[in-house]
Amino acid sequence: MLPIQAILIALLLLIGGIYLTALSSRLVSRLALLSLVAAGVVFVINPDLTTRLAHRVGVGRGTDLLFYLFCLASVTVFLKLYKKNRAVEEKLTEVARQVALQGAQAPHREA
Amino acid sequence: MGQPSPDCVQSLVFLVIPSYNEGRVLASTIRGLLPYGYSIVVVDDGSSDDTAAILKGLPVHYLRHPVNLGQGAALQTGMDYALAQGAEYIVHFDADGQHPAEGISSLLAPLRRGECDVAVGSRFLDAENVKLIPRGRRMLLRGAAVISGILTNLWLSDAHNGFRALPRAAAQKIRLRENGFAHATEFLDEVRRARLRLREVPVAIRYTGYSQAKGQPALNSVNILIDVLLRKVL
Repeated sequence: MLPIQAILIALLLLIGGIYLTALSSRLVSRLALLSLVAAGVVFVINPDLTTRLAHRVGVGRGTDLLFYLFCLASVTVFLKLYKKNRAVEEKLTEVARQVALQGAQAPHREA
Repeated sequence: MGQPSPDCVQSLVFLVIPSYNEGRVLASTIRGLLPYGYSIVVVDDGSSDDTAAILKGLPVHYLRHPVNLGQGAALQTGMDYALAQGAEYIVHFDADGQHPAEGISSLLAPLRRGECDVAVGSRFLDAENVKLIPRGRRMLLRGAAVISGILTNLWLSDAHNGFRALPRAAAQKIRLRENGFAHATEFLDEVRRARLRLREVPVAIRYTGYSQAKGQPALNSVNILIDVLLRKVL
């Protein structure tokens, strides 16, 4: 095994472990993550596999195929974050609005 | 949409004025409004200036967002408050005094006659008013009106006029979720969704040096458009 392979596998497992324990608690995303890590490890051990896969779908190099997939994944993550951010913003708005309404000062009426 | 009483008490007309760091000009805007006897709701959108201190002594309802959220959010907060206070009519009014106080009764007139559910000011219905608009801004507004028409299917002469009036029942049907300036398009979306009858009313806008310096720079409209599109897609 090449040193880079050892490093990559170690990192993959580490990130997977962190994500699994700390970030997501939904079964679906945990399973998805596990299979992603497993696939990553397989590809690291056997790099030619990506190239063969790439050829099969009409892409020249395995690296390119991974790059394309990476781009798609980035966009997906961006959209998900955008949506999440909006939801957080809406909650913040609601809280700030309630604070404003509760602290409202009506004019002093002089009869 | 109910029968609004023809001689509805002035104090049941609530002006909602969002303000972000405009304390000084806001105070003079408010002084100009006081003689009319409307209820005035100032929504201080987390200003870092001394808005609160400047308004002290003026007979207005004062609300303050603890953080800056944007004009759309401030309008919605003000509408929530006005409705809770029993408002018969709600008018969106600008802090910087670009909307003429006389225009309020022009906006309210068709509402009081029950001819429409939402009245929006337009700078383009009266040739004299159009001349007041700086040329560059005029073109920008025309373009914006077309884009807004495509997006909302409501074809207005002046889609980005923030001078609006609506009776209680209509205000209850509208909910602005767009915190920033994209709320102008969202407002029209809501009007259409709630099947409210909208009418444009000719109103002049005063372009003072202040409002022009503050007004939306042209590039910003691209930004707003992206906001609107993102919201439509997601």
